[in-house]
Amino acid sequence: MTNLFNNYYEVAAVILFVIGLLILLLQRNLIKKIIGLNIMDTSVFLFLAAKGYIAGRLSPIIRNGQTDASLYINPLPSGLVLTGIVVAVSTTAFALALALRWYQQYHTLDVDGVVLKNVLKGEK
Amino acid sequence: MNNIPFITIILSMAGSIVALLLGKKAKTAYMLTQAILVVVAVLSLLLIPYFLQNGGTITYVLGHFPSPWGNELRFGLMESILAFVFSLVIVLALISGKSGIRDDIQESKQNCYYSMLLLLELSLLALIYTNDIFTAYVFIEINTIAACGIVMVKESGETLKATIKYLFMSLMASGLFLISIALLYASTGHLLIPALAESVSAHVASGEFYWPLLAAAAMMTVSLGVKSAMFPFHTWLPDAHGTATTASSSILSGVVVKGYIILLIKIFYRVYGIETIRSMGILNVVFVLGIAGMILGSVMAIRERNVKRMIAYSSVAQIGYIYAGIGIGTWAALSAALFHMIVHAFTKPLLFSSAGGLIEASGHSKQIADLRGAGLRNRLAGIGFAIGTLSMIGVPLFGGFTSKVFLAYYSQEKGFIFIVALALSSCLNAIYYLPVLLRIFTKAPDEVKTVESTEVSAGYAATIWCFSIINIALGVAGFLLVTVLAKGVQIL
Repeated sequence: MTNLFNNYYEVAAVILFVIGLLILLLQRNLIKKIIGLNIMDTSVFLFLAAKGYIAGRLSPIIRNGQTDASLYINPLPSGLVLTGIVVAVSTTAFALALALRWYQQYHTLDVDGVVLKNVLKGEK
Repeated sequence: MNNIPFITIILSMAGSIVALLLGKKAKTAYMLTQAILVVVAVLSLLLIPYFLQNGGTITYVLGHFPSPWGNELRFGLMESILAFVFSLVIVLALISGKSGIRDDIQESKQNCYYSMLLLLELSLLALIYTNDIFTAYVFIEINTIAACGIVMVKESGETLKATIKYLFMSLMASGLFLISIALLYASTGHLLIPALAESVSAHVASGEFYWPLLAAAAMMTVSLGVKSAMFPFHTWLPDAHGTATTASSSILSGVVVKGYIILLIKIFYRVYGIETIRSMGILNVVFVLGIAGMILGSVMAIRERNVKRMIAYSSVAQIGYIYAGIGIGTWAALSAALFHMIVHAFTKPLLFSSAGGLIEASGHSKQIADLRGAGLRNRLAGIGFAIGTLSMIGVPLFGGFTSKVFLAYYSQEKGFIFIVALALSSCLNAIYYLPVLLRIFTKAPDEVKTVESTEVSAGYAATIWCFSIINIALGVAGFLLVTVLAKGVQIL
């Protein structure tokens, strides 16, 4: 139990991940799904950033020519977060473009619910 | 020799950018794509004799950081064979689907299609060769976007719906993969596969971090299972593969889903080690889901009235075979599963391309009912379809038979369940494929609309023959490839 309190960043990240996953799975609105996706990705970034942080050290950018590794935090998770952000941005952009197409085609953002059925019925 | 995988990856990347810049010159983009794919195939082919002779693997260091921190490519016999097969299948599928591309895609957007294809090739090659798990994640995402792109490019209501389903399921899977990488990194401190494997086995021996490692393995299995249409997560596949243009369907079911399976095999065998994965119980889950896919995928295919969706559901069953083979958990069974993967990579595009020809010869109707006599109007497509279906059912002399025999032969202690499921699944395959086969070779009564005997282009004919001959060759001389693959997986 104390572990959970000590690692509160990781706990928060996992809770956020589950929230995002559930929004992605259960919401019918495309925009909400995309928001859920972003919450999910961001929670992983929080997890990684928390893992890379070492209390009392500096961000991994060389200052005053000091290359002593013990001054800085672990740079690798930060690098992963950066890459992850790029990936998340591009998938979000693609998903939003598809959502736009969907709206132009069916005039709703609902993907599999009642609203869509009514629209399809109206078209027939 | 060491540079070849890197060169092939960079070449595809450069090609995809150039294809995008070509604008409306669709023909040039097509030629460029084909040229690059052929070069990649030939270069990968060059690696095979080298590894056959010398064995072992080559590790190619990218950048200036040495082993536990840097990024690496690692390749051996299995990787070069797969890279060759995947590139060859894409080349052939593209030639045979060319008329479909012309009909389904606006001319101004065709260069984007070819660009997407090269991105797909690039990400598949990277998934095959990479020795770093985070690099694998990045290329999974590239693969997902490119795969969604080649479904979406047809731009109809149904492809839009299929793409959205595909994209959101894939993105959920990507999220799971990312957090399992974060878990693995948090508990081991490594991302490079050899370092990761060392640390994981040390943790397993000491019993430390058991739950995070188990959670990571389970989430990776689910994540790659969703992306490769493992049975309960297959729901996106029939929509995406059934509605896309013919070339896309062939490529998606022939090679794209396989890339993820290769990655999962690497995670099982190289990161965790097969003993660990077995003791965690994951292999049994994979085996059961594979068996379920083999049977239920075929049952769902029986109910289908649309020929392309039927073939797509049959992919679910075939992926089930591959997963059941992996789930048996021996090196021999793994090589049989890989052989089945290669056979399926050549058979499914054959089925999709010849179904494309049959559909064109029946007034563009995909309903099985409308295909009556299509095999007589387009004889070549009919022959291709016949060879494909016979191979899928598992008639001797065809590829599917040999791979099923090897899977059954190596199934060992799980043999009874596996062989019963195999027999059942083969019967079910026959139930849905044979009526279609009979229908396309039955002369249409006069009242049914008939189309004049359609002409086929030389390229289409050549690819159908190529696929058919490769299929029969795999059926007749498949044991050679299995021994080679068995050598290849030993050094996985």
